[in-house]
Amino acid sequence: MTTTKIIGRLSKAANALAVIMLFAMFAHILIEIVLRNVFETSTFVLDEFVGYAVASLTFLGLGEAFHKKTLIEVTILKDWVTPRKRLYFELFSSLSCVFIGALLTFYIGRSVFKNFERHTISSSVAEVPQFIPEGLLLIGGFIFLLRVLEKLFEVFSKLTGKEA
Amino acid sequence: MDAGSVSFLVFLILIAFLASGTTIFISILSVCAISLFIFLDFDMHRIGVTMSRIMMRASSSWELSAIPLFLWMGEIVYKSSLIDQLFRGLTPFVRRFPGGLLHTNVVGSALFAAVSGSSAATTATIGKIMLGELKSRGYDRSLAIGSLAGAGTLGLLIPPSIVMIIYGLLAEVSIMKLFAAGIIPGLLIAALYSLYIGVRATFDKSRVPAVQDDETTLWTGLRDLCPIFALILLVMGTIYSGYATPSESAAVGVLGAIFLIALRGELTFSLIKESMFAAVSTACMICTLLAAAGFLSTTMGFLHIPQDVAIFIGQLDLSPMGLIFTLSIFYMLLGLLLDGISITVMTLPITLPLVIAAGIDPIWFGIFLVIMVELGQMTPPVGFNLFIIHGMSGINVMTIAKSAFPFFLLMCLAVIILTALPILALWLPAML
Repeated sequence: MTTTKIIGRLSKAANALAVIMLFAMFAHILIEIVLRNVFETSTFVLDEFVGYAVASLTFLGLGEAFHKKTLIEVTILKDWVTPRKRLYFELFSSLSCVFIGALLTFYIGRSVFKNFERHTISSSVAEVPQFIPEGLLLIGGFIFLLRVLEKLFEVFSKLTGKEA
Repeated sequence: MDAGSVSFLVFLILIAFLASGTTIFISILSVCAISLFIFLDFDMHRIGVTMSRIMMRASSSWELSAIPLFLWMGEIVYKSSLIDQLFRGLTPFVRRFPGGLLHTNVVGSALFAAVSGSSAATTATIGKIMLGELKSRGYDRSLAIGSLAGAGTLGLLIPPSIVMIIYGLLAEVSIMKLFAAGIIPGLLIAALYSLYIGVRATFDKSRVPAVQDDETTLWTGLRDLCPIFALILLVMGTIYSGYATPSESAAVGVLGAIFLIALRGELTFSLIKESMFAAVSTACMICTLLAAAGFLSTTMGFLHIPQDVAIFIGQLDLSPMGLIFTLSIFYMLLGLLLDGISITVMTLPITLPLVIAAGIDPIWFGIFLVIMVELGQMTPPVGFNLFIIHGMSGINVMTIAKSAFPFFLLMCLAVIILTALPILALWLPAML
């Protein structure tokens, strides 16, 4: 299996996990409404868990959103230049993405490692080990980094190859 | 270096990144990292720690859940035959007016704003539903996207509104009174938009295809609108009856939409799956932008840009009208770069005492601020409604901004009317 295929499968799997997060958020909110209004009780962790789900959804879907060009960009200048020059714009964009992606992934990873080492838990009744929700963000960030690296190599090979 | 020069340089760097075609949220994060590095001598470690913490915290906000859930609800409606029914239902009501179905953008946004509380969710949902339909029916693209960019902002003004909740908490003003205060100005803006569409359509008939008479009547229209009204009533009902918060009501809305398509025999696994993947994709785009905006706000705060500008305005010792005019310019400039929540949170501690000292009603100022924030949603380079429409339609951001410009001016007119007649915002709260 080629590297591109592996990255593609990882990205799709993370995106599927993001969809599961959406469903989990939906189910948790409905359960909370029923518990509160019918049984006069609560899960007591709605804000916390839905917050984890939104963040996970955002990061886990990032790689696939980048790949499918759902993440928006201003193409006003790119549309006006020749295909060759456009590649230089794309090279700059890809390098920026790699820089930010790497910075985010490294520091989220650092936070996950620290939370795991220190056994940090949330202050709610659920006492969720913080490395778990942050770990999901790390996975999302890492897959985003793989996707932008893939794009960088693609642009670089076009610039150096004959197809440009 | 003074605040003015720093602001100008930050603005230039942002323009350079955006113009290069770099993804917007990466552009924002890059500009922040570069600004902190150059102007404040932050090292990469400090930048990385700050950025990752803010991104994690901003994307973990519970209030954000309304966005993916309302998007999911919109996707279900969009992928089912409910959308055709909505159009059939609105047709007999709007076809007699000059501009025809273009009014559905405004009416649809005003209706959806009453259930979403978010400009981004309103624009994305109504845009998903309306843009394709208007295009396929031959409506002028410029009027269609311009009216959507403008009307989508009604999500901030027509209650429930997340920005209003934040303002109410910071300004210690009754949120219920703020919600009531937003209704008439919201309807005023919607009316101005519809009036403009009507006038444009009257003077330039090529922009709107002739509406053919069919068998639909107001009665059949009302019947066709029933499912959508039921959905809106369900969402609003759960909020105002106290059964659910605005964010929770989004989940109720999804359940309602699933129930409606099940009744019509359209509920399939593939529809639910496709609607969820589409919602996740769009939500990811919006939430990353909002999280990046959080870091931009922090960076601006570190650079003291909003505070220094607000202090400068305070030193001018202006009359109430002069103060409102100056604040309008100030908020419009901030709206070029920041999102509404960031603007509200960062400037209010300084502008609110100025406003109260000038004898301006804080409820009125809340509505004024929300409209100012709405203006920022449709101005480039950072205008979230423009980005959302671009993400859905693929149309160039500057083209969308150009189409939205008349609606921007109409909203400025609404601010002038509201300043001349503050009773428009203050009458309903006084009734409570």
